Parts: sequence; C-alpha cells; structure tokens
Amino acid sequence: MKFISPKIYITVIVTALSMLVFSCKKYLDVQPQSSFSPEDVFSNVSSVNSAIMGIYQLLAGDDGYGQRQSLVYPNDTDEFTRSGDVDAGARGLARYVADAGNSELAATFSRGYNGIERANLCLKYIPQMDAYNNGPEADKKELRRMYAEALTLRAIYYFDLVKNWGDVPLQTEPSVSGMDFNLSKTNSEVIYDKILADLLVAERLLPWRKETVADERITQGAARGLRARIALFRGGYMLRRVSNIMERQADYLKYYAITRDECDTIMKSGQHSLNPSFYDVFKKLNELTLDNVYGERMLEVAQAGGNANYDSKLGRANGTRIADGSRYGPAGGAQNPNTNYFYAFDPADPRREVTIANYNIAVNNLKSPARITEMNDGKYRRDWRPIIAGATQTLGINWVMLRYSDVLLMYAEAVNEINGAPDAAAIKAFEDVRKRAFSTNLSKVGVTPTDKAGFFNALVKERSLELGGEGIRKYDLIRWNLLGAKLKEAKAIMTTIVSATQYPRYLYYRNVGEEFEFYPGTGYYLPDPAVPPAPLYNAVTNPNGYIRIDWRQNLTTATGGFIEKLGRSFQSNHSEVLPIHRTIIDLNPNLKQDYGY
Amino acid sequence: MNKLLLPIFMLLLICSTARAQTRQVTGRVTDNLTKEPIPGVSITVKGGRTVGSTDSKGLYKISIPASGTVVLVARYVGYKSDEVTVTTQSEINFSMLEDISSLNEVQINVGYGTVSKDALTGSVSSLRADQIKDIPINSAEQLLAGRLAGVQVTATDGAPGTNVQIRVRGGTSITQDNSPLYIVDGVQVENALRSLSPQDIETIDVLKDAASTAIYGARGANGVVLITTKSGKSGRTTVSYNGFIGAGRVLGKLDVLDAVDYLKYQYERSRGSEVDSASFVQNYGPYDTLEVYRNKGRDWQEEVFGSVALQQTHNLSINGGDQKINYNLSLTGNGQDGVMINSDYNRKLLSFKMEIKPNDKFRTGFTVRYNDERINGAGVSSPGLARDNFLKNTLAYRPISSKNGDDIDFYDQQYLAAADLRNPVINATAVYRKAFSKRYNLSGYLSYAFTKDIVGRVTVGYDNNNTRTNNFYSEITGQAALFSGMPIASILTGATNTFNNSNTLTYTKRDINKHHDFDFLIGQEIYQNSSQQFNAETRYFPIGISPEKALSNMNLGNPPSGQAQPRPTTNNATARSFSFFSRINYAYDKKYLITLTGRADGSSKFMEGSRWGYFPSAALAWRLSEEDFAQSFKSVLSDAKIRLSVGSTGNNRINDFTFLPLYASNTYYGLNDQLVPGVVPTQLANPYVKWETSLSRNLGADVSFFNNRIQLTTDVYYNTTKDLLLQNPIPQTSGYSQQTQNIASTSNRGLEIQLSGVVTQSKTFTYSVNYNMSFNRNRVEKLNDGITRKGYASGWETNTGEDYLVEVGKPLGQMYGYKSDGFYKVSDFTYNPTTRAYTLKPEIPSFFGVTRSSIQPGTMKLKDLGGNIKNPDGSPAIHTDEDRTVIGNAAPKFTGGLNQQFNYKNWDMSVFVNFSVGNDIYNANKIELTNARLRGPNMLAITKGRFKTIDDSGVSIYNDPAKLEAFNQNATLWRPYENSALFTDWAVEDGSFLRINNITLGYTLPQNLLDRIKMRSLRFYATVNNLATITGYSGFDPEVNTRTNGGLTPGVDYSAYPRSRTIIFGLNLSL
Repeated sequence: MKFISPKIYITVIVTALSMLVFSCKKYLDVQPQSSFSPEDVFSNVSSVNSAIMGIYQLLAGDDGYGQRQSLVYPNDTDEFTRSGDVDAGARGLARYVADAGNSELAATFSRGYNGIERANLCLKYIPQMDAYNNGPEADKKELRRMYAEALTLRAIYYFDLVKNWGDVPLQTEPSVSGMDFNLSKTNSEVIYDKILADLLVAERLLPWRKETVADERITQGAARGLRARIALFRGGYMLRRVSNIMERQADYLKYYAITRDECDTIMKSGQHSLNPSFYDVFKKLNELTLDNVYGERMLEVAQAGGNANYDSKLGRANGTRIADGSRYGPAGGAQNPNTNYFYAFDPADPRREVTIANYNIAVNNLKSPARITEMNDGKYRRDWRPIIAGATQTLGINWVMLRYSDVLLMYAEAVNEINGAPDAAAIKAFEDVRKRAFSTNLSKVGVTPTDKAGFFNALVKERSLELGGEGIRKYDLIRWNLLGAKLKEAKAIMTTIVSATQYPRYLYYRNVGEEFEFYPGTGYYLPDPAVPPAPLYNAVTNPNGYIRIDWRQNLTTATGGFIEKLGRSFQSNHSEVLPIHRTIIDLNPNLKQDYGY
Repeated sequence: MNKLLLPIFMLLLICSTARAQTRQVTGRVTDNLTKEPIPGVSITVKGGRTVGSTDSKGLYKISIPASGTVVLVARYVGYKSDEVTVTTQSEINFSMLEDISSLNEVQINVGYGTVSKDALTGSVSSLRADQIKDIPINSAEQLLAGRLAGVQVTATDGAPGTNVQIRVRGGTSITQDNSPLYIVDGVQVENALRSLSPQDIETIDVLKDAASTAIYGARGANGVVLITTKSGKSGRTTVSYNGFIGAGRVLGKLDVLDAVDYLKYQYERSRGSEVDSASFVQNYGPYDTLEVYRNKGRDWQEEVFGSVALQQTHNLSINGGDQKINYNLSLTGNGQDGVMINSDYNRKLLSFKMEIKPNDKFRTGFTVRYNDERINGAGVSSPGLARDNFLKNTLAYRPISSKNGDDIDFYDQQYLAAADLRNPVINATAVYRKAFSKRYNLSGYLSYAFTKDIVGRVTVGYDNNNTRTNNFYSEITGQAALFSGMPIASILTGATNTFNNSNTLTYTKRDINKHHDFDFLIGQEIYQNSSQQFNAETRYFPIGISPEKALSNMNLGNPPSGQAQPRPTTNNATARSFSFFSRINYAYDKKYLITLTGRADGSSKFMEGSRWGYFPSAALAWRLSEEDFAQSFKSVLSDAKIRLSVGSTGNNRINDFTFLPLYASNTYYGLNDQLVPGVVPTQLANPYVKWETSLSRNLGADVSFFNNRIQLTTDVYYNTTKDLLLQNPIPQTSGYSQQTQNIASTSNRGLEIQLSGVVTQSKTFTYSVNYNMSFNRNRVEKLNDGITRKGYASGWETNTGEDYLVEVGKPLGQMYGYKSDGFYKVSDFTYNPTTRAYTLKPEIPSFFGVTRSSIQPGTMKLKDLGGNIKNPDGSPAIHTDEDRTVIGNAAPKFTGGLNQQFNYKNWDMSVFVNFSVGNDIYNANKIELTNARLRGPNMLAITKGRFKTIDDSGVSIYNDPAKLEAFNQNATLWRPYENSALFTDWAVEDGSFLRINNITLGYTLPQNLLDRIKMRSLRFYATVNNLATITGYSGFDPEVNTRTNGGLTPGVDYSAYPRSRTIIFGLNLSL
C-alpha cells in the first residue's frame, strides 16, 4: 500500500467528506413512525373515521360525561343534591360556593376546547380531501357524514361550554403556532347562532338511525334533537356579562320555532318512539344493550374500556349504594334525591322507582331501605348491570344525552310559547309521555291544563319527573330563570315534610331473601303505625323481627343539615354560570372572569 | 453495519513480517528499589521499529541489527525510561527507577484523542483502575459515588439493579434529560455504565467544562463520561480470576407499633362508632386484656426483608499479546439475591477487545460486548398503585392476627376492605415482575498514519439493547381489583439500536523551532438512535392462573360484558445527528497553552433552518511552574497550572418532532362496547424549536507539591443555560394546554476541590489519600413567559398535589408544603356540654380548601402564614393557595468523598467514606405511616406519643375537656387521623450523611511463595460495603430518590428498597 501517496488519501477523504455534507440534509430528514401527519390522516375514509372517533372520545371519561359533566356539574337542583358538605371540589360546586380554584373546573373546560380543536382539524381537512370531492359516491357520502359528525360534535362541545360558563371564546379554525391564542369572550348568543347554523348543515348530511348500523354515532334524529335543545337555550334566559342579569333576547320566539320544527320533523320521521316500559329504557341501558327497537335513547355517549379517559364511572360513583365485598362490587353515593322530589312522584308513578334507588345493598347482598337523606339516583345502577366483581371503577355504562320523551316535551313547550297556549298536538306530545308512565293506570295521567301558564307549569314538573337524574334539570331551570326559586321551593317543601305526620318517622322492614318488605301497614306514604312492631329485630331473640331505620326522623332543618345545605350559596344573577378556573384565566390576559366571580 | 465491520476483520489477517540480518539480545528488568522483576516493560531499539517486552519474570528477548551501535530503551508506565547502549553484549539488564512525577504523564482522554495531564487545559476528573481495583462492587455506576469532584451519583434506593442518576455539575435542563453523554472507547453508548462490568474498566474521565465538552457540541452540555476499557498488555498471556462472595443484610428497620400498641390505637380509633367498638372487643377482647398480645405479634419487616441475601461475582479474564497484537477477554457473572423476599438479580457480561498494530502506520482494534441481565421482583419503589406497594404493605400490615382466626397467613378480604392492605408475604408473590435485558455492543476503529504527523482514524460503533419486562398481577392485587378482580399480565418489550461513526484526521507537530507545539483535529460524526417498543397487556385472566401460565397464554383473558381488552401498543422512533468538529491545541514553550474547539451539529429533532447548532469554546492555561521565577522553589511547588475556559455546548436530548403537527393513535371510543381506535393531535407544533445552549465558564488550578506527592486541583465554574425547552402553558382555548418552547434558563455555579497525596511512602509502608468535595448552586433564571413559579407533583400520593416548586431565582428541588404547628389544643375550643361538641374559637385558624377532616382537639394544626383568604364566616383560614411555602430543598450544600489506601508489606487496606451535607429529604413514608384515615393499618412507633382520647385504662376522656387537656399535656404528635396526606415541614428532614462506604483489607501472597506455586499473584481480601452511616435522618437511608418526575422532584423517600450492609470475601488471582 506504500505506493499510494498521502495526497491521494487526502483527496479521497476530502471527496468523501464533501459527499457526506451533501447527503447530510437527506440524512437528517427523519419521518415520524409512530405518529401521523395530518396529510396521512386525511388521506382515506378509514383513518378519517379514527380522527372522528378522536373527537367523540372527549365526551366520555371522567372529565366528560363519564363523571364530571353527568354527575358533578348538574348539581344541586330541586331534584338531587350532592352528598356531603362543602369542599373545594364537587360539593363546592353543588353548594354554589365554587371559586376559580375549584378542582372540578379546569379539566372539563380545557377538554371542551380540546374537542373543538379536534373537530376544527377535521372540518378543515375533510373538505380538502380528494375523496371528498372526486371520490366514489360511497366515500363521498361517508366523508360527508363524518364532516357532519365533526360539526355536531363541535356544537356539543360549544353548547356544553356555554351552558356551564356563559360567554366563552369562540375559535372555529385549527390552532397554528404564531396565531394569537389570547382570545376574549364571545357572547353566548353568537356562539349559539353559529352552532345552530352548523347543525342545520350537519343534520341533512347525517343518516337516520334506521338507515345505518346501530351504534352510538350521531344520527340525523340526534342532531335535530340537539338543535331543538340548543334553540331552547338560545331562546331562554342567559346571564349577561354587561348587565349581570338573567335576560332573554327579544327575538326568542324565533328560536322556539326552530325547536318546534326540528321536533316535528323527528316526530313525523317514524324513526324514534317511546319504549312502552320506562323501566326497560334504563334497565337495558345498564345491561349495556343499545336501544335498537324504539330509538327512544336517541343519543348516547359511548363508554367502555376500563379507563378514566374513555370509560364512565356511572353506576359506580352514583346509583345504588352497594358495599364493597358484595357480589356486585362497591357503588353509589354521588347524588342524593331531595325529599320533595321523592314525594313529587305520584305513589303510582313507576318512574320514581327507576329514578331513585331507595335501597342499599350490604356485604351479604341483602337489600335494606335507604334513609330519607341517603337515597341515591337510580337510572344508572350497578346492580342492574351484568355482574362485574371487584373494585372496578369503570363499568362501561353509556350516558344518555337525549331521549325521545325529551323531544316530545320540547315540542310541547315550544308550541305553548309560540301559540300562547298548547294546541292539540302539543297536548298529545305531553300526554304521550305521561301515558307511557302510567300505562297500567291511565286514570293517573290526569287532566292537562290548556292555558299557557298552567301548561308551562305542568311541563316544568313533568320534565323533572321524566328526565330526573339525566343532567338536564339545572340547565332547564336556568333557561327558565327558575333555578333560585325552585331551590327555595324545594327547601320549603322539605321543611314541611320534617313535620308532615302523613309520612312515617321510621321505616320498619325485614329481609325476604335478598329483598326487603315493610311491616304491614307501614310505608313511604303512610303515617307512623299506632303500635310499632315489637319486639324489633334482635339476632338472638327475634331473628324474624323488623328492623327500624330513620325516615322522616333523619331529615332536619339544622344548619349543615340536608335541607339547609341544598344549593346553600346560590345567588341569582351570579350562580347560573360557573367561574373559569384560575389556571385558565391566568394564562390569557384577554379572558376575564366576569359574572361577579 | 456488517459492511463496515468487514474491513476491520480483514485487517486482523494482515500482518507484515519484514526481517533483516539480526542477532539476539536477552536480559532482565528489575525495580531499582525492590529488585523485583517488572513484567510488561517495553524494550525498543532507539530509532528503530523493533519492539520486545518482558515476561512475568521480567525477562525479555529482542532481535537487534547484527552490526552497528544500538541503543536499547526500556519504558514502563510509572518508571523513568532507561537507555543502555549495546555494543557486543548479548545480555543487557535494566534497573528502573520509579518516577513519582510520571503521574503527570498519565494520558487524559479528552475525546477523539488524549493529552498529557501537563497539557490539559480543561476541567476533567479521572478515575483510574488502580483507585478502584480493591473494591468488590457490581455496579459501575455506584463505583463513581463520591469519588469524583463535580459528579453527583444518586441511586434510587438499595434494590439490586436499581436506577442510578448521574449529574455532572448539577445538570442544566429543567424538564429534559440531564444525563451525561457516555463514550466508551470512542463510541457513544447510551447509559453505558450499566452495561459494563467494573472489572473491565481501565479509566473513567469525566469532562466537565465546555472547553473539554465542546468537542461533543450538542451533546456535551451535561458533561461527558469517557470510559476506556481494559486492553490487552504486551507480554505473557495472563489469566486472572477475580471473585467474591458476600452476604448482605438490611441495616435498620423502621420502628412501627408492636401488637399491643397497635391494638390500643385501634381500640381508641374504634371509640367513635358503636359497630367498630363492638367488633373490636369481639375480635381482640376488652381493653384491659390487650397485654396478652405482648410479644405475640409478627414483625413483617423481619419476614419480608430480614433475610440474609447472598451475592457472588466471578470474573475471569485472559489478557495478553505482543507488540503487534493484543487482546483482553473478560467474562463476568453477577448473582445477587435481594434482601427482600422474591427478588434477585443476575447478570452475565462478556467483553472481548483486540488491537492490532501490524506496523507503525496501521492500527486497528475492535470490541465485542454482550450483557445479559435479569432482575426479578417487583421492587418496592416503582410507581404504580399505592395499594400494591410492597413496602407500604410490609410496614403497615397489622402486626397481629385476629382473635378468632389465624387469618394472618391468608388473604383477608375484610381487612383488605377496611385497611386496603395485603399480607406482604402473600403480596410478594401476587405481584410478579421479571425484567430482562440483552445488550450487545460492537465497536471498532482503524487508524492510519499518512505521514509522521497526520493520522486518520475511523471509529464505528453499534449498540443493540433488547429489553423485556413481564408483569403479572394476581387477583388479590389492587391493580386486578380495578378490572373485575381478575389477574392481569403484561409484556413490555423494547429494542434500541444506535449506530455511531466518527472520522477524524489529526495533525501533530512538536517542538517547531523549539518553542511551538501544535495539534490539530478535524472530524465528522454521525449518530443514529432508533427504538422500537411493543407493549401488550391482557386483563381478565381466569382467577388462580399462575404468572408463567398467563404470560405464556396472553390470549386467554376474557373480559366480562361491557369491558374490553386493551390493545397492544407500539412506539417506534428514529433520531439522527450529523456533526463536524475541530480542535486546535497550541503550546508555547509548554508554558502557555491554548485550546480552541468548534463543533457544528445538525439534528433531526429540529426543523430545517434551526437544525444546526454551533458550539465554540476556548481555553487558556499557564504553567507558571515552568517560568524561571518558579524554578527556585521547584522542590516545594513541583507543578502549577492555571486554567481558564469559556465555551458553549448544547442539549438535544429532547423529544422528537416537536416541530411537526402530529396525530397519534392513542385513544379509543367505545362504540357498541368495542374499543374503536381514535387518532388525535398530540401537540401544537412549534416550528421554531431550537437547541438548548449552555455557556460554561471555568477557572481552575492544578498544583503539585513536593515532587508531585501532593496534588491539588480546584475549579470554580459558572454555567448558564438558555433556550431551555419547556412545556410552556398556552391558553387552553387553543385546544392545547402547552407547547414545547425554548423558554427557560438556569445557571449552576460551583466549586470543586480534589486533593490527592502520598502521605508516606517507604519500602514497606505506603499511605495515600484521595479527597474531593464539590459545591454546586443551581438557580432557575427564567421560566415561562410571565410565570415566575410553577408547581410539580412528586406523585407519591395524589392528595398532596404539587409538592415541589420551581421558582425563578431559586434552585430546582424546592419542596413546597405547609408548616406544621403541632396540633389543636383543647383550649382552642369552646366545649358545649349539652351537645358534647367542641367548637373552634373564632380567632383560631381553621382549614379552608385544605382537607376534609373536621377539626377537633388533637387534630394536626398548620401554621397560618397570613394572606387574604378567610373562611366564609370571616375567621382566619389556612388555605392551599396562601399557606404553603418552601419548606426544604433536596440539593446538598456540598458532597464529597475520601479514599484512603494503605500498603504495609503484603497487606493492603482501603477505607472509603462519602458524604453529603445540607440536602433535605421528603420523608413520605413518615406521612403515610402516621395517617390512620383507614381502619386497620399499623403506624410508626412515634405515634405512641400521640394526642389520645382515651386514658390509660381505655376510658374515653374526649368529652371531659379538663381531663383531655391534662392527659395530653406532653403529647408529641397529633391524633393520627387525617383524611388526606398533607405535606408539612414535619416530614422534611435533614438528609446529611457520612457513609463509611467501603472498608477493604487484603493480603497478597509473597512472591517467593507464588513462584513455588507457579502463580503470578494471589490476593485475598475481605470487604464491608456500607458499614455504617452517620445521619440524623429517621428513614431507612438518606441516599434516596424514589419519585423523580424527570428530575423535578428529587429527594422523595417513599417506599424505598432498604439498603443493606454487605460483607464480602474475595480473591484476585492471576496466572
């Protein structure tokens, strides 16, 4: 090798080095492997579908309708109260003492905008896709459906933000570095108008439920129902930033017409109907069965997978209180029905037994009546679910966002407002709901008022009986500007019940198998027996005796008691909206707290 | 890869053997003082190429030209070279003189080359094999603890195979990786110390200032650890065996309540509820009979980690070669039982290194390393469900069985429901974990001297690391309880491949015009790291299945209705960098030294345009001992050098692709109860992301006294890092909560002292000392825009929230919590005898937004630090936002170590002590084990001094304020009942310690005896590792760091694996 001179070596090396320089640009261009560019995602129908699932996902989980939006935000109302006393979290919200540091506030707010960003990306990129414009018809149709889903989902996220926080920032384009992210608030009605317009586009691109595979994806009926609901909010009372007063816009009737028309379209579509059994609606829900037959459950948030991000704590955090160690696994406790709500149901109304879980289950699986202040909400309950043992936190139970009975009642309400009185169709829609409830005892349906105010009041009550525990009441009362009044009314009714001798002071029960029965001649709607059963249960001397538990005895007007704490610090023209969490306000100089927070 | 290795293997075959007319000369080389033969001395013909070396008896044989005058030169490290002129003799003997000043001729690895210590301009700490050869230790990482100034080594805990965090001068980044760069024999190897056997290490050089690290540019900001492995030595083939066996035992236990005290507390606690009171009596009998349980309890700590753990290490090496070819083959096996039941560690290492020098121009070498590691046992500190936590279950599980059943040995469902604790012995087998790691590492180099001055070198390295972790949670674990109480198994696999190639050209010219020394280096390098992860988890296995069966049948799990199996997940990534670098060393008269370094790095982690970073540095040194004026006191001040350097380095150990808008498939939507994958945007792309850049300034001095017998090196430095990448919060209405931005800056300033000296040296006795200490002050200079403080959660317990605070102007590692104020006194309340209720007096502060436990006499009290927030009724409030403050800092004031080595005749002894002063420890165990929010857990013995609500005969005195107050007059602790764990300064303890890390005593058999049994050397020794620790810390061990959260929450002691004391016997044998 000696014959090669060093010069040649150097030349070779210099050449090699310059080639390296030349190739280094290419060498340094590395493409991500485990992630996708937007171009990858929006290149075919199936990966767009995944992007759409990504938008849906934020509806589920702890910070979505898996817990926070279904069980935390909707309290307290005249129906339910959050258990326990004030804290810096859910109980603080329920008592309306939440400040901007409340632990429940930040995640859901951010999650909403996270969902909006995901939708904005889909709304930007789907129409740019070749398949959307020039693809096969099937692809075009599917992509239009997905585009409509993105619009609807964005509407849901904005609706959830506005109904909880009032005026919030509006962003309808995907975020890009360099953009001004310091958005200020947009008036609620502007946001409502935007999403009502979006839904009008979306609903026409979506299939009706019978035209597609049955699953939890949004169908035309759901989008129309949502549009009807949002229109009611647009036409209802809103807390104004400037005046700090609950006001409704002068043109509100325009929006009631939207509600009426959308509901009308749904009712005439033949796609949705009431399940003849109210019990069956929720029993099936807890059995994890979709409502393929009636389509009464029009929109559900799908939840599964045993994960706090896309599964729900429904039936675990709330519902029947079940002891750890029983065969069902532990459950219950998040929200307690108010006594006035319990007694608002007609004794013959089967909806009470569904809406309120008035029993507990012990370690040995025996049921016992719950005390008056310790009953639970009952539409989501673990003991109705196929048994899943252990301390499992997430039970895969869907959240029902919209039911057909709500559509019927919205229709009735819209017509009543527009016409100044209910017409026959409105009365029929209202009575359809009541008749389903009392199908075995139609005499209990009663006479429907025909004047505007009477019909409205009947609707206010009926919506509570029908839709209780479905996260609707608080927002209904706000759009009617009745939340403060109804909380007061609930307290007043409960106060009278404390000394209402037509109801029992104690309940006496014994177990028959795992179920329980009351001592003959006693019950929720009967006064104390003249002679209480004696001797009571004693494991040694009288194992067949009756066990006494507190009923009315348990209800007190004391400070810190069940009645006093209900919605304790509610202030009209303030508490209707939530404060935005401090960490969010702090980051954005243009975002103000407002509303007296 | 194979293409690149092939030429290297080819070169092994090339061996030119040109010969001329020669004659033979033989001889013997001995030590001038001891007259003992010196093996491995190189004998060369001056001016020629012929080389020979001495064998184990000091004998050599060499061929010299048949005619003419020949000068033979004998050279050996540590001796002055000796020359003898050969005329006609055929036997030449050398008697060599030891050269104490030769220490200065030790070559220091400075990256892509070496310099002598004299010519060094930067700040480098070095560890030589002879400083550590006596120490039997299995972890190369822990070898460094306390031995090098400016290098801080923190082990997570005492578990075998535990993670070790190494920081050079404090670390620069806030949230990114702060580990130094590891270079093994010229090749970058991630986390290299973990895959090397300490026995294979020749030297470790740690580059600390930018003048030294700038040659590594973008990767050098956190220091560079250069490791040189042992090469073959010319001379006779040596077979060495180093082996030791040892036994370890946990040093101390945490004092928990014994059976009787435990029951007394449970009795007291049960007074609130009639049901609990009745069941207590039913289970354990009335209060006055509890003494019968005295000495009948169980000591779970003893049962779980009380056993003696054996360990053994065997290292066999074959080393040899001649002037042309040398090799070193080393096989190491480590086996170590954990002191904790069901845990052990096993590692096998193979290393083969070979170098070939066929002639003066060519040089080539290659190394093959293979590492097979197995860690068995779930450990105790790994984050996960608290309820599965091994240590918690061990410490808190009730120390007594119930009266009516011997349920203590069984899985007790009722107790589990009440206390959320599992029998620790059963739990040890309920959580199964085996982590396997197989790693091979190939590297080679080829250098060619184009001329005498110009040398080109190509270095190639390939590293492949395959890991697999098998996990299994049986049905009794908390993890399984979340998923229908059915077993769960998961298999996590990872493969990382790195490829590194550097090509350098050096030009060296010495003594130009007798004044100028000149070195010039130019080079280019590529580095590629690609990783693949595949994780699969299956839930809902049939109850009762064994871990092995489940892990072998991963399809077996069957979810109940409404539940779904998680999908397998993968994560693959590749990152590349491409660099050019250059270094110039210039010396005038060997007195004035200058080093200029520059490097340009391009990385795939940045967008084109901000992809390249440029990192220059300059260093000056003045050897004032070489000046004329210094010659007069040369006998005292043998050497003195002052160094000054400034330079910049970078950090690209950041996430990939922060500049691209990306979607990832990491979520699902449960349509029809089937998980449908969703792709979601993962980040708000930041196209402006660029390098983190550190500017480092260093002033140092190297001084030697008394003919280099005492050497002192001190350095002061001030390093600032800007453009630190941080997740900067952005308004959430953008759909993102944060974006990676170059936004923060930090600084580290410090002082390092390294002192070594030979105190006594005589023919029979030598005593040498090596001492170092380092002071480092870290400061956060800037955080996110407009934000001066940000909380981070250590996450040992969710309720404590953000318990660390990063604050501008303050160091990292600030602990953030409440100040403890003892407990509420009876006199803080007004007592209403009718309602039997204690009402807090309005002027006494109470909790607001802090905790849910109601305030009663004896409740833990927090200090009200003022502030505006009041209770709704106007009374003073202790609020999360206002009444927390900085209550500790994990950063030590200084750390260091002292190593003393003694030699007396054939005996040797070394004592190594290391220390840390001024660091605080967040004793989370103490918080958890004094909190009785659940019914049933045991607590620390300090709760014996608690505020009590029953008197000595078990009678409740709660409703008698006067008695209650009098009885608790001397209480030292609050009533241990809180709803949530609060972090107060009570749980912050001074973690200063002085550890007698290692004492070794060895005996080497005398040479004459060895000669008889045909051995080269044989040494027996005994060692005690971790003999004792002097500390005020009340936990297991002050060297602890179990919840780091990426380095932001250092110093948490939660459920750390206890450290043990080990006694080791071993021998070093060479043939």
